[in-house]
Order: sequence, then structure tokens, then C-alpha cells
Amino acid sequence: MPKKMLDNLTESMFYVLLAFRRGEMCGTDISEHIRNLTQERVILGPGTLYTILGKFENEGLIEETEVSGRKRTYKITPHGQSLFEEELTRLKTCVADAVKEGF
Amino acid sequence: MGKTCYQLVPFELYEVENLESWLSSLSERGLIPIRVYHSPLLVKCEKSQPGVCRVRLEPAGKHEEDPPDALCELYEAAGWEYIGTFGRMFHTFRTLDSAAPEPHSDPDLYAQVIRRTTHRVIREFILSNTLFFGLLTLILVLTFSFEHPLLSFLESGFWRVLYVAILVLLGFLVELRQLCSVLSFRHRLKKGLPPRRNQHFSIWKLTLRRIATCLVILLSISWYIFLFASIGRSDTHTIAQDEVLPFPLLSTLSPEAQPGGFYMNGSDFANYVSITRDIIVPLSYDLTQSDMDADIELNVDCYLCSIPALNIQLAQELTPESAPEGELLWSNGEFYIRYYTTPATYNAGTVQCLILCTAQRAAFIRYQGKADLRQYAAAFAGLEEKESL
Repeated sequence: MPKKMLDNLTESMFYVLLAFRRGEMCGTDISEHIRNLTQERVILGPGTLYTILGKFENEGLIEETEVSGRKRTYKITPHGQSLFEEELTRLKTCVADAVKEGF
Repeated sequence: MGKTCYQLVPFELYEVENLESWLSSLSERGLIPIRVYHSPLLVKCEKSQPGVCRVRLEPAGKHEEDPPDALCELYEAAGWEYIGTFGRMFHTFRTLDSAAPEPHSDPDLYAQVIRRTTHRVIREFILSNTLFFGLLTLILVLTFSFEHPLLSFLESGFWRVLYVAILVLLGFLVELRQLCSVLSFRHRLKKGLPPRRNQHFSIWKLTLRRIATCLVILLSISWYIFLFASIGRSDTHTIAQDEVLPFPLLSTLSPEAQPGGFYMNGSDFANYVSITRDIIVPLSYDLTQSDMDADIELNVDCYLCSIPALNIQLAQELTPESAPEGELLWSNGEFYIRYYTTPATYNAGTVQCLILCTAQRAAFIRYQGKADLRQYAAAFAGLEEKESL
């Protein structure tokens, strides 16, 4: 299985940040959204999602907005937003370079 | 709920792939895991029809005995059920739903999670071994430098030392194996390879692993029994003061002193019995540095060493002249008396006489439980007769 590292973000991490562009979300919403968006190409397991959310929260990319029972809702921070945009720009550049090469 | 049963876990705690494969394979035999415990030895299963049940281990955080609510929420939403925390290290989830996604869909992130576990294992490995070997070194230093009798089980012969050495080595190897398991798993994930979760184990392999597990448990228990039996002996016999021959009491030397008791500590060390005498020093008696430096002042409390119940006088009068070094004091061809007065025992207010005897006599002088010392006198008498014949 090839690695899917995108600089500091893996593919799963990229999609989680992308999901937060739609607003505040809880873990299950994120998982469902990514599954639908990618037409089940990317399915986030609960362990992976929990790890990503913990990591993002520690690094200040997202912040918790509500705790309702066991359900936690998060939103993206300006730092997370800028990191996502940097990553997106980098990816676009990669694709543009490939197009220039005739792909 | 159907009938339940317990299965002995044939793998060690950190063999994540083996454990996941084995726990999942139980369902093929009609055993659905329903509970794992903080002790990683047993798993509780429910008997049912053979089916497919996947079991996965999620590394627990530091000091995390139960999974966080947020983690449970995500797992349950994805169709997984929490069944316990295995060995306080892995939150264990199972699913009967074949459509439930794998908990760790991203191998890179999974490798990071396992990396934390690896660090924890390495930390525990270093800490436990440092503590253990530090303690062992201390015991050896104490034993060979001060000849502390409580720890003299190490002097008790080749086989016992070998036994302890094997136990230590076994414990070390088990820990090393666990460390290698988790490192190898992490290495596999780092290479981007998926975990090996569909392994099949032969009955022989599982049986052998279970026997090994039981053996390790039994040896560990025996180690603790051995350790505590050697250190915390309870078969101390008190010899009445009037049974002891004219031991000049400290009170005769120092009017304010209280008489001390005489204790005979049983020993299974094959070739010596230790006699400990407590000296109760009156508060008005000042222990000075010069007393410590000059052992002779203390020696006078115990200058006649004998056991009247045996009707054997073991030592002649010990005077500074006869024992200038405080070492080997008296010999009768068979017995060797050593009189120790170390700063440690001195400070504790205790004087000890170790009576070492030759192997030939060992069988007779060996102290057993609370037996009357007079039986040893009879045994010696019998031996004397045989020898004279």
C-alpha cells in the first residue's frame, strides 16, 4: 500500500479539515460527510478519526465548541483554515505541474 | 445471553496482531468475546453459533483505564462495541457487523498511535529493569559487603542461585520479547503494510503458548513465595532468658540497662543458624563514635556464646585479645563462630552471632519451625556416640 502523506497532512487529515469548511461538526458527521463526498473511496475508521481530532485539537487547528453527552462538536480555527489553504495551494500546484507535462 | 466460558489468552500483551487474530478467530469456533480484563490472562466468551466477529485493540492513553467518551461514541457510531480494556493497555472493541469500517483506516496515523505505545513499552522496560537490576545489585552488595543475614538466601547454594537466575532471565526475556513484538508491529506499519489480522494458529501452537503462559505465572508466584519466605521468616523461636547460660547481661555492666531477649532465627540455609540478641540500651547510655570505632566495648555484651539447651558451649570467652579483628573467634574442629559487630547492627542495637557449622553437622543443627532446641542436643549426642564408636 503506497503512503498518502501530503506534507504534514495525510489524505484522511486533509479530508477532515475539508469537512470543517462546512461549519461545526461532530465526529460522526465528519465521517459521514467524507464517505459521501468521496463516494466511499475514503472511509474514516473511528480510531483514525479520534486520533486526527485529538491531534488537530492539540495543534490548535480545530477547537471544541459543544459537548452534549458523549458527543463533541468542533469548529476549524483560523490557524487550521490557513493550513488547509496552504495545503490546497500546494496540491493545486502539483496538479498544474502534471498538466504542464501533458497528463 | 447464552452460556459463557473463559479462554486462557495464549499471547502476550503487546502481540497486537496475534491477539487481534486470535480473538477474532474465536467466533469461528462459536465463541464470541464479550469481556476482556485489566489482567491480560483471560477473556470471557459467549457460546453461540459460529460466525464472524472482528476484535480490535485501540492503544490506551497514559493512565487511561477506561476509554474516553468521545472514543466510545465514534466506535459505537461506526458499529463497534467496547468489551473492556485489555491489560490496562488496549481498549478492546468488537463488531459482528461485516460492514463496519476498520477502526484504523490510515496506516500512517495508526503507526503514530502505535509509536506512542512503543514509547510507553520502552519506558516501562527501562524503568522496570533499572529498578530490578538496581535492587538486585543492592542485595548483592549488602549480602557480600555486610553479610546481612536477611538476604543471605543468596548464599544458600548453587541450585537456589541458579533458580533465581533463571527466573530473572525469564522475566527479562519475556519483557524483551514484548518489546520486540511491538517494535516489529510498528515497523510494519511504518513501511505502509497492513496489519496481519487473519493469521491462523494451530492447536499445538496455541497449547504450547498457553503452557508457557502458565509456566511463567507459576514461576512468578514461586519467586514471590521464595522471596518472602526467605526474608520474612515467621518461625522465630524465643529462647527464655533463663535458658541461657551466664551471659553477663548488659544490666550487670551498666546498671540502667534493661536485659535484652535472645532470639533464634530458624534458617533453611543448610549450614548455619543465626542467633540474634537484642540489646536494649538505656537512654542514658550514649553511643558515641568512639564506641563504634572500638568494637571491643560492645563485644563485652556477648563474650560468652553458648546454647545451654544443647549443653554445648560454643564459644570461649571472647576478649579483645582473642578476637582482635572481631572475625573468626573460636574453632573446635567442627564449629566456627563469627561475631559481627557492624556499624549497622550497632546502630540498631543488635548483636548477632552467626554459628556456622560444617556440612557434616548441618543436618543436625538445621532449625525447624518451633521445635525444642533440646532435640538438637539429642541429635548431637547421638552423633557423638556414633563418631566415638
